[in-house]
Amino acid sequence: MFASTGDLVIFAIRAGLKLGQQGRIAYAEATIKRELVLPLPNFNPEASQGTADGYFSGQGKIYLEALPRLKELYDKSIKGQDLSDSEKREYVEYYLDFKREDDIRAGIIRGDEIRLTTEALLSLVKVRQWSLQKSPFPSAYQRILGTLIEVGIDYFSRNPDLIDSKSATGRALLGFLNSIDDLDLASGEPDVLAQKLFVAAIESISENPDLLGADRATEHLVETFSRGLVADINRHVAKIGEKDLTKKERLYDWAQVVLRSILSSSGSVILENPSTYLAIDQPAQQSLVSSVGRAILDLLIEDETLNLENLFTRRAIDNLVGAALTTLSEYPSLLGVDNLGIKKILSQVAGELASSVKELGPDMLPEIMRIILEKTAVNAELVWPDGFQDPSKHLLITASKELLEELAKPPTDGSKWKPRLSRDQILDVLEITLDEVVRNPQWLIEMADGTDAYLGAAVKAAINALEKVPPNRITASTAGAVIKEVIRAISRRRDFLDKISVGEKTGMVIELALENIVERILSDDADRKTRWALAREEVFEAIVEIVLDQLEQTGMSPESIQLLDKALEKSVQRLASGGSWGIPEFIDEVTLVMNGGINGE
Amino acid sequence: MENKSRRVARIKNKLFLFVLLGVILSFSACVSHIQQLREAQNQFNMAATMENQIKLGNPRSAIVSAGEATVSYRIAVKIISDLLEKNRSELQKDRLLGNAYTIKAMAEWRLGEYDSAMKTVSTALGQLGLEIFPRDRVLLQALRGLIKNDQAFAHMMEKDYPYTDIKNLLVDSLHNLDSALATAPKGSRIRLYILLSELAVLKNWADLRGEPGTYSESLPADFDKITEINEWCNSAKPVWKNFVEECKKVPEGGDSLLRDWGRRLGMPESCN
Repeated sequence: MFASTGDLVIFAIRAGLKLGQQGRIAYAEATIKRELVLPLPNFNPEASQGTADGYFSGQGKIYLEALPRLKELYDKSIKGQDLSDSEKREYVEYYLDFKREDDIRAGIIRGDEIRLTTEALLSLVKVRQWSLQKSPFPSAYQRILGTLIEVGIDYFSRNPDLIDSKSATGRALLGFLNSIDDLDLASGEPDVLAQKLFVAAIESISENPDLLGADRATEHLVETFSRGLVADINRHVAKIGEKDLTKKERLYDWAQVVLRSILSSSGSVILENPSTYLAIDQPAQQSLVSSVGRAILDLLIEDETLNLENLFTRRAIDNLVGAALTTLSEYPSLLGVDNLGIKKILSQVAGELASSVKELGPDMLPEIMRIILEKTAVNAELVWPDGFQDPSKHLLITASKELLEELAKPPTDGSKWKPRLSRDQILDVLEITLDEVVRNPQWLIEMADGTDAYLGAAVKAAINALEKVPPNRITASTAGAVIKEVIRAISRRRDFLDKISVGEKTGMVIELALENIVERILSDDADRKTRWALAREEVFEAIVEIVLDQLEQTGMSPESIQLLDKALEKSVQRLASGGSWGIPEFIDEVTLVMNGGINGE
Repeated sequence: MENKSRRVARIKNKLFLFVLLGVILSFSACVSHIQQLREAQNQFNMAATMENQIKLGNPRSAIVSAGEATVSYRIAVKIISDLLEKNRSELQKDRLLGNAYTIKAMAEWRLGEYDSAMKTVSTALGQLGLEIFPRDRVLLQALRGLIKNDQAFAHMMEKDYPYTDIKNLLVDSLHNLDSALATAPKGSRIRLYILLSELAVLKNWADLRGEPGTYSESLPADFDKITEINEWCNSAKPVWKNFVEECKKVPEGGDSLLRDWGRRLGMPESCN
């Protein structure tokens, strides 16, 4: 058998070690398989006012009519009025009574069911690694048995005289043992944030091959920006602390979007402005791009009023980043790193316009921000005259606020409707308005009577006139076009806003002129055939334009308004009596009547 | 002949003694880390049992138990942290590393150390080649949702957070738990645990929408209870359906669970 006692001892120790090793594995597996008692997350186990609200809003609704007191409590609760402690108890008691009856009817409470003790309930949250029948591990007994077989094979292989390991039995035995060792359940996942940022960087750079094709400065820029972004993320993470994992996850998601956006924009804006962004020896300039990232990330994460995260799409962020980088390239030192100009603008826009955009459609906010940033780039010193310090002095933000507040106001008393402009129409009006403000910031200076700034007054005048249009006579698009025309007209001649009296009416020139047009063409008193022809979008818009042009030429006197009315009346009558009508004829007619009247002809 | 049989007997005895010695030597020297991990499991189970007793209305002495639970969780974390520092390779070799991370992350969650818990989850799930068994994997994936629920609950108790933000936490928590549930093997008891956790989240949400002024510092301007209830039902219905199915698989106690949670949440009547 064994050559010597030493051989025997070595064999025995090896066998013992193998058995010990298998014992250790069995012990480890038993540890893996042990039940864990799983703690439930935090909650209040008692039925509550919220439970009762749900029940009586659903199937329990049928009980409300029968019990006036219950209905009273329900109505109070559902309207959000506070219930006193005793009312809450009463309300919840009602709920528990009716729920018990429902459960009895449904057979959930039978009287003979097993009432579980807390201990029994607790046993339900003792969870094994696997169900009893599904453990992939052999039992300790099987494992030791297997080892004994292995040891046996070892033994027999040293002693081929006793058993032939090449025999069918031996091979089968070995094959079985080897297969157990091949079980492997390894898997893994990379770190969340690192993965997100890495993927974003890889994809963006691959989509923008020009970016890294430039030179070392671009590489350095990407590195600087990425470091900045990570620093911003860390800052926000520290601020959020351990109180809101959802916010942290969103932060990671937004960081990814901002990184993609900046890297994508880098391909165009940054490379077009190399002297601003790619000065490798000037760290402050390198950090400019970071300041855009920070401004946008802060805006999204710190906002507490508008839920901005829901308003910004990837495209909106791209547009905003592009606009911000363009603006920065014009005024790098003033809007850049230390002065935080971009951040100030964006925060101010969000804060100032919050209530108006909530009313008009919050999703337009990213576009409003883009427009304001772009227009700022045209002439920042003019539109932000206090040296880029106080964002409340930014004229374009003030102008946007004035415009949007007027558009968001409910119809004035007695009006049947108010033109509801679409998102695109509002943005269109805003763009034209801001263009006019950039050309002439005087728009925002208060009028002599101290009531409104010119801009607010202009928009209000246009809307007041449009409110007099009976519902459904003109489209929102026409209304938008009229407002734009009014703004253009007033930008040329401020005296459109002068107050005058014509007959019994008193108001601003622009207001009275528009009212005349509305009354003659769109009111219920207007001839139906005329209305049919003149209320068409392009025709009505042309009439407004022609009338305002003509007033500009003839002056803003009460007489002009009266003559205008006369010209409109004449034109409308001709059309009503079956005469020909066209824009050129209308221009001639208005010119003739108004010039004739003014000249005393 | 007599000498030969005595010699064979002596050899047999020697063989037995050496095998026994080898087993004892190799076994006792190599399993101290497993014993420590088992002790951490014991501490964790003890703490969780105390906590669940308090939550399910059997507070032996709620304050003492809560304090004891905290101590036990703390001990579990300490033991595992030490093990990870000194015996990491042995744990990995014995395929216990995943279990150790799971218990540590769960205990950190219960201690309110959410950043540490998520770091532990990230370390565990991010390690290529680390073997994590089914229950532990589901728990690691569920922790994100469990933490969000507790963060929401803490804000409700402190009344220091806006309604919308608390609701966001709860809704996200449900999403995360749904994702974890999707990975839970059919027929495993861990499914019931995840569903119970989802019901707890729904209960918090019901409490929040029921008494928003009591549980949040501010309400959205357009807050409307009926809209909130409808939204709640959209989330609650599928969870309840899964829960009913799962309860059917619990031969003793399924009915009782269904009845208790039905009463807590007003289900299924609230959403009919």
